[in-house]
Amino acid sequence: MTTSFADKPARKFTIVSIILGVVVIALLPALAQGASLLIPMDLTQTNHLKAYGLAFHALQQGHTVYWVLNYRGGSFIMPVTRELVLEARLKGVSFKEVSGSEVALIHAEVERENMELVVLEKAPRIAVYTPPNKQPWDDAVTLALTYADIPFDKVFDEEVLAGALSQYDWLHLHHEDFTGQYGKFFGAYRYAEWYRAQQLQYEALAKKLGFNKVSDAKKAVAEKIRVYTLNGGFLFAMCSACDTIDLALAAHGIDIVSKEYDYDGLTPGFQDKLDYDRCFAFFGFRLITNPLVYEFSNIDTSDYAKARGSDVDYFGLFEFSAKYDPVPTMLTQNHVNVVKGFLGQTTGFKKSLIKRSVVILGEDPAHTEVKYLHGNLGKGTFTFLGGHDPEDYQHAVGDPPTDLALHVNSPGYRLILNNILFPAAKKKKLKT
Amino acid sequence: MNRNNYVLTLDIAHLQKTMGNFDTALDEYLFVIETSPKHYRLARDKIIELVRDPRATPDDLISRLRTESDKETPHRKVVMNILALTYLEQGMIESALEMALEAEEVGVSDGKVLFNLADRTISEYRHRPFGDRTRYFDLGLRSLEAFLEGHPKSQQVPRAKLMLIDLLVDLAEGQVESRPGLPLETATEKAIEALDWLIVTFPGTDHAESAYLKKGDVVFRLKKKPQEALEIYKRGLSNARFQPTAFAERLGRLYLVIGEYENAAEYFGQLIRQPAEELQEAGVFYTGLLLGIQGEYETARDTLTSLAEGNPASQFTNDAIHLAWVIEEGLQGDQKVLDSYIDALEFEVADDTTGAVKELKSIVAKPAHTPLRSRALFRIGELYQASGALDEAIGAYDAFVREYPSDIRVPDAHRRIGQVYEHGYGNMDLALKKYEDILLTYPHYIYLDEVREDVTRLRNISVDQQ
Repeated sequence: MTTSFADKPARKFTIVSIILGVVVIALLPALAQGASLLIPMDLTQTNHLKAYGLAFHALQQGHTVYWVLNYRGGSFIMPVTRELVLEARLKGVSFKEVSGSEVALIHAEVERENMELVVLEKAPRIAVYTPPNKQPWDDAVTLALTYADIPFDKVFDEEVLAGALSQYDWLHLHHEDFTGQYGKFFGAYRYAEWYRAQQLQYEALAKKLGFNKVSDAKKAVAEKIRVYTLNGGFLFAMCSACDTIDLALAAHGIDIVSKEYDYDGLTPGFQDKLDYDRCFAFFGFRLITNPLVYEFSNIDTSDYAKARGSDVDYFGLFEFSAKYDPVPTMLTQNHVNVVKGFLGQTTGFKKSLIKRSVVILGEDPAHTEVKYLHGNLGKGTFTFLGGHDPEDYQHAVGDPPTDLALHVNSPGYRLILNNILFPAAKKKKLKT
Repeated sequence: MNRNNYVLTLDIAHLQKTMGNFDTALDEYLFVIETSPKHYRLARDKIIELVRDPRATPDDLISRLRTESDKETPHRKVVMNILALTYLEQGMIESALEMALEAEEVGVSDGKVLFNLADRTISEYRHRPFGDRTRYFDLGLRSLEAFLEGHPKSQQVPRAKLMLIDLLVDLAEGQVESRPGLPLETATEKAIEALDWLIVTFPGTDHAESAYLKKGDVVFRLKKKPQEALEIYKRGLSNARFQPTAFAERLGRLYLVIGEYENAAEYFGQLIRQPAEELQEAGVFYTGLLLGIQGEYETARDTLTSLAEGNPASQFTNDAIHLAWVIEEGLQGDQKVLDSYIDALEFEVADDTTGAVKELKSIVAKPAHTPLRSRALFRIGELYQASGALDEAIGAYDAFVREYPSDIRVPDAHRRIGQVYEHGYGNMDLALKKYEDILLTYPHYIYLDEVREDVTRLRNISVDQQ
């Protein structure tokens, strides 16, 4: 594992932003009393994905859960109750009852090593942005949430524009297109029934919401998501949602969609009119507006990944200081250091187009491709993960969904689930 | 209407549906049925999709279809069938049956819904606790009888007959509460009549073989005439191509029940010399069983062990291993105990649960450390459970757990108690608690995955009920 710190501004940014409660001394007496359940997350764990679900379930039941960062793969400690033991057995999650003195030993190790104890205090309210009709592809995050028995609500354009996001702590975006180009499937699927139906639906919905064009409606949605994050929301995006949301935000007030989609042309000189300051993570990118090209911009590194092939497509996770950078540490908790790569409509991000303030969590060390990144926007945070499905190297339209019961120890899916627990972490106010 | 127009109308209907105009889409599909009757299946399937669409308001569409079904229109037949299917999918099985029967009366049914309804209610009925079965049994019976009366030439008739026979046999065996107007003897005779019809109508087929097997079972178990059953199986075996092993098994059992040990030995020897492996294995197993019944325990044990070792994947291996262990354990102690256990086994083969339990109880009356006592106690529970004596079954399992707390079968006993609560009493709360206790107490239980499924199933039932 390579050690890497983001540029100074980013590191300062990490320290200055959310600093999570490190209440070790205060907590030690509480932890040391009586037995606790230790859920190890190293290679001994029988079901990593359900373990997150167990932690979430414990939070829902009002228990305090401790996330021991970098200890045995990012283990959890929670109280011993009949109900939690039963849930663990039901989910097939391996655990160990540890005594107060064993917990004290864990604490001592945490103090000594690059580890940290984070308090998870409340189950976050989760929303997944997804259209109501069934898509001919599957969403890795909803698969993970469903498999781990973590409840979530579905929201789409109507709910977002009506202000429903304020009810949620965590918002997920997956294979979405906020530019209004219907996923750029025009070239291959413009005559397919699902594509035609989707276009009709989106046009009808845009009209219903008071917009003449789908692209305008989507831009409004992107803006709402941006405001949600500014106001303290946690945003997690995968695949094409990562770059298209930034493209839509940058294209504020201009038309970047060709006439095949919205029946009118592009704004002349649109490239020079993009406002990168409004973006989450990217800057300096160039748009690809040809409707026959299955690509949105030059942010995506899909071609390079495909050229490598699945056998040699990997990315490494960076190691962070658990005590000083608990947020990126939380987001990179895993039982392996190197994760298998996976393609998507947006597979990864060109490093030179990522803003300096963004923290890079995972990248292909041999190439200038970033896979996993995190940043702050206002009071909120965002995390982007490139690729469509961590356990399906090349997921095509119409392919069956991944059966997570066959991938219960998936390192890629752990990265997704790290993001779900992260909003539950206790925040500690900065001293002024 | 020419071909192009009906395609265009279907397309328009689809676009209307995409835009959320479900009523208009329904009008278009009904128009296709009226004007292009040859293509009614396309429109029918589209209407079914329309009702299933998550964006639609099914109650409104169903109400609309209900109104259409009362009109004398060309599409009435299709609409009635769609309604019946929709009711069925929504779990409104009584409404589905009434609609299907109405369609039968006016002569506009193709029987498919009735058959599907019967299929569904019968599989539902089998999963219900005893006290909850009557509703589904009655619905299944009415559906089947209406289907068989209205569609005698349907390809599903043999299957429907077999389903009807199963229902009647269950009734005769007391698996469901007695039905007024259908005494047990009548149910048995009706079942035999249906079986004879299958044998005569489909000679040489798999249906006929299944019918012979079932008829023999009914005559043996319900009419208590083993000799007559033996002749039925022999007749069925004479041309058997699909299920020869099933016949071999039954014949083997009946020879033992009747006590014709010489004929039995000869028959088993013939089986062993058959080219088909399954028949050879049946021959070896029943030879072992016969030797055990005749008191030649060591030879029986060795015969059964050789079967298990030589054919680990055989369908007889589990029973062979079990019986070999019984003999081995029995030989460690008083041979009289082993004799009683084997006598109990003979009663079981003869389908005489009372006799079997009596023999096993004589073993249980002995001190706790007696060889075979723990097996006998567990087996009593199994026999009571199978025969529907639920309180007695729980009593036997509880006694087993209490007296042999470190026996490897203790989690099994707990699971069976859970099953009695679930399938016998219909008490899901107690069943769930029992399964959960297994998860907590026996984390290394070999069937823990199955127990997880039990817990998940019952929790889902509980959520549905809320």
